[in-house]
Amino acid sequence: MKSHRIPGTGAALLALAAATPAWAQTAAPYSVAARIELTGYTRNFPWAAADTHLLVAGDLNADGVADLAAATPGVWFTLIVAPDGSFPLAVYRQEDSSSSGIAAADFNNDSKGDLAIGLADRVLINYGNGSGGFTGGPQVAVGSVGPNALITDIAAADFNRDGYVDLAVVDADPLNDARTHGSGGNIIRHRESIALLRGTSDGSVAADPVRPRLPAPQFPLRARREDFNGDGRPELLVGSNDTISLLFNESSSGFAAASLPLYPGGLHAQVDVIASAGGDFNGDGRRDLAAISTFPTANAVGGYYRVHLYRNAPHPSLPYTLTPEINEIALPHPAGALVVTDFNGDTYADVVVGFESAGAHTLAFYAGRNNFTFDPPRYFDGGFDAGAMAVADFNNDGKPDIAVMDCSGGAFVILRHD
Amino acid sequence: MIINAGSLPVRLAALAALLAVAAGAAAQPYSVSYGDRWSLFPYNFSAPIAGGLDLNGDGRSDLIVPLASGPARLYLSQGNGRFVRKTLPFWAPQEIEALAFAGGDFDGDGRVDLAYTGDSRQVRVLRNLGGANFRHVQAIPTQSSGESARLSALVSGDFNGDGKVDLVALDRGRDTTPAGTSALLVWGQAGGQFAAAASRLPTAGGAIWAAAGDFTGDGRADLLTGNRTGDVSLSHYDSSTATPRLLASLRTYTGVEEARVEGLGSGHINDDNRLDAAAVFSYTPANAPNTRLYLLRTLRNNGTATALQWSGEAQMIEGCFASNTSVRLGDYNGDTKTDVLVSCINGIGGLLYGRGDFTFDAPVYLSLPEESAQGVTSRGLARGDYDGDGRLDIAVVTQRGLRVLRYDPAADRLFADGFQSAAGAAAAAQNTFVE
Repeated sequence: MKSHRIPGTGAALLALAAATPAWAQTAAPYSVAARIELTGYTRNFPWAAADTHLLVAGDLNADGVADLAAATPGVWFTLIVAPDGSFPLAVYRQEDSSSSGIAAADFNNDSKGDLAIGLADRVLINYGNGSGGFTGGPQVAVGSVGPNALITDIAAADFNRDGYVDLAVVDADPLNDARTHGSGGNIIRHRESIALLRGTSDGSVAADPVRPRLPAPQFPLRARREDFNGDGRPELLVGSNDTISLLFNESSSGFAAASLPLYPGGLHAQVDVIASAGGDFNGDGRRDLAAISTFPTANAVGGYYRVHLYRNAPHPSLPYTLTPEINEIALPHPAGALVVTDFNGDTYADVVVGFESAGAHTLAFYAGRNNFTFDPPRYFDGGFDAGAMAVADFNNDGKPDIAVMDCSGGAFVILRHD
Repeated sequence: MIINAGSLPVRLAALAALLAVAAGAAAQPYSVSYGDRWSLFPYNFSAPIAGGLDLNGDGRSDLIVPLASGPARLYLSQGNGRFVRKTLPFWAPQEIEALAFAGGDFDGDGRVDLAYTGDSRQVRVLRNLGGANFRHVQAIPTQSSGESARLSALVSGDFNGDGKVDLVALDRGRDTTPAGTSALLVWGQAGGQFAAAASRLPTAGGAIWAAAGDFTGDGRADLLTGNRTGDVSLSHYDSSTATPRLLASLRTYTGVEEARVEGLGSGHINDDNRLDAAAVFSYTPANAPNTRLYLLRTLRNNGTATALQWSGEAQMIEGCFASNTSVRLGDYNGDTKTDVLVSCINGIGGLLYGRGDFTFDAPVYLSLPEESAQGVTSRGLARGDYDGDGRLDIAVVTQRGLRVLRYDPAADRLFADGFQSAAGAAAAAQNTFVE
């Protein structure tokens, strides 16, 4: 399917709905393999499904199938997946904290998956026992103060390639590392950095002695790792509500001072960044970036929510750059999550978007065409609003399956690639 | 237009003509700075958007917006007119009908806690764990009963002067028989819990609107209520004698049929440092049974034992169907005089700029041009300084989403010639609002 160029705008936009040919309006090749309701969910003890972090935690019980971990404010989960895609075991633990930060890695190098859990002002390391259970490990403070300190996200990787897993921690703390702003006498506090904790030989983490804080956009909310140039040193993407910063990671000494701010709608545009994910959208072997944003006004095909694409390209002074592509995907519903995978096996990176559509469409699958263009969407209609998503081959059939949060029903769902 | 409250003229102008008048009014000095959209519709009553609460301790006023069929949404201000969305998930989606929120530091830990009412006919208390994440800690039963009964309002304040936040709920609304003549008053206790034994505070009969404020000047909160038969009342708890009292009961207008209060708000309308109030009411003229007229009346605080009295005149709100309206008082144009913002179900809302003497200019109407054409209208309004410029901005909930209208001096043709004085900005910055 070709993308349609809108005369006068120069923008190649996907035509949706009415312009979509019948052959393309087939359902996405996915069906529900497993669904697990949030045990204990009551109106007095609910989980904020829409604020849940969901991630593939590796094979936690050594059965050869990837498992899941999730965190919502104050509660974290381990979700053991069976080879048939079902959930034989789901455990939740409540913390006296409001954080939903979680990351998975092997912190003590015992080849068993561990979890880093965000508490209000600390990171808790839980060591996996290889059979799906965990033992509480050290708690490491990130230097937050005040009653409203809050860890909102954690990214784990061996950023400096010293053999120990490091953590980048997004810690919202209005009473720390603040500066004032405002012309009318109001005191406005901005957090403009995130914490960097280095892995230690005892399986814990500690503040980086040289650069304990990394620069970030004002009020950072999310952090994710992406190795954009394949050098084994993952970069950090730090997102705020209206921009994403790319922090280069090019040397063993740590993150470079230079970062690349990405403004989906241009500086000072009234755009909100919802989610981002990396993938090679033009087959050049370099990872590009896709990000969902919402705009105050609709574009030519009526989209308030759009996927913007950024091309990984050489740069004369930076290690590389991410330049915005003219193509974009206009989304038919409010969207909250996206993942990048190759769901149709054509080797091209595809985009999967989760909707808050009141059940009209749950997921949209946009098949990539290798030049930053995409086929019209194929939908999965599960009758629920999609929250966080994660991709893995849960049944070892060589095809990507999708785990998705049912925000309207309060459940974890695994969609099996048919 | 200022008209005499004792001789209300019958206005039979068609809605189209009224809207034409509104459209010709001065341009709004606001531009959209933030928006969130949803496919879910808030229920077609008024959406009780709650503002004025700093939920994550960053010094900024955040917003709470309940939805009809899903968890309520929190919007955390980023200080530049922009917000970050979170979820307040304290009910199963199929049961939601949260009607009101009230906030305060119930447990003295420096965080703003919340209470809300819902269709369970209980007041539920949520403890802030920090960073605008909450845990349910208590459910307070009410007297609301019957198939269609529900709680209609919830406000917070220190009503007995013990330094702890108390809660007042209107729990016997219009659907309860007999119509309630008192509100549930639950006392705050140490540790953030509320007393099991509640008191009752007398109110207007069948009251459905409530606002809390210190109208009597004793440092304690009083309760202002309104009902659907046109009455406004002021209630007070005399802690020295442990006696709840009805200080004043006022009828918005006599001599007309079906007068009803459509919304209440409080603020300092003149400069006597006593808390005044405003009420929007409506009535149907006797000779025009298919017409509904909407008027604003102000209540002057005269400092007497009964505190409030009608200020004497009613302001016609032409072109605005201010049914179940938000009434938000504040200095919107920076002239140090209190203005009134009302929501309209046939548009977004109207601003009546005050003159400092309980009179107002003709309304200036707000619009969302792109969406007004699609019939998108206001379901509730909040206001606060969302971008740190010292001027009040406006948040509006519609069927389709939340929009934040930021004061935009570039669009302010009315006041671009010097009204934005330092004194005005300073006065606005000192205002805090919780409602």
